Amino acid sequence: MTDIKQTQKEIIRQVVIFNIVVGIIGSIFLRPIIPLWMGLIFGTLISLLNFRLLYLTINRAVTMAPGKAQKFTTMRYMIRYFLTAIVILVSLRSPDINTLGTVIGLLMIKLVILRQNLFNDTTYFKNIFSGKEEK
Amino acid sequence: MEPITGRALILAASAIGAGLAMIAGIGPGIGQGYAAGKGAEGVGRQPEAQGDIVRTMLLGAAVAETTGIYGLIIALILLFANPLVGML
Repeated sequence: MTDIKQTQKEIIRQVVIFNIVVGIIGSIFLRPIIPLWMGLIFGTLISLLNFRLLYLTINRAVTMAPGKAQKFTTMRYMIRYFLTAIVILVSLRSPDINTLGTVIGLLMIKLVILRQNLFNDTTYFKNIFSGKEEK
Repeated sequence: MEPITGRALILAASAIGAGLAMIAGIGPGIGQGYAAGKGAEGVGRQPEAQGDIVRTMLLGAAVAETTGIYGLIIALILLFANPLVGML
């Protein structure tokens, strides 16, 4: 269980860091910057809330009977999907929230998980760029 | 009968496109449910592996969920902030 908590903490930490980096880069190229930051904060908070809800759902689902777990998880997914729809709709309607920022905030968690668990072998990429890949 | 204007045609096509984009939201729901069912079976068979199973499922489900969000974003943009109408 400690391992799961550690994984969650690490993902949350990296999502926040990456979004701050995106915010800083966006502040250089996009104007006005306040809606961009508002969108990023809004999207990040909702994505982290969704991630937490996903953990609670899965943690409960694995203790259920398989058929019941299937229905339970799908129902909870629909609730989270509806929540995300409201968030995107609000960001589209409100002039104070940048939609691009919200979308980046919502989707950053995918990039973080892929980077952490799939593209985490730096020597593999170093070998590709230096032309020393195994034949 | 009134002729169909370009704007009306774009709005109708956008509504159909939004409906089609929402199909993307169904897949992750079915997939997550299926994974949860199999995860529950796995925990029933090997209760001591619950931590590993939950961790793997959590990462997989989080990645799958964002795929559904892509379709949702496209559908909502087509419905509420359609960029094609402004091109007329």
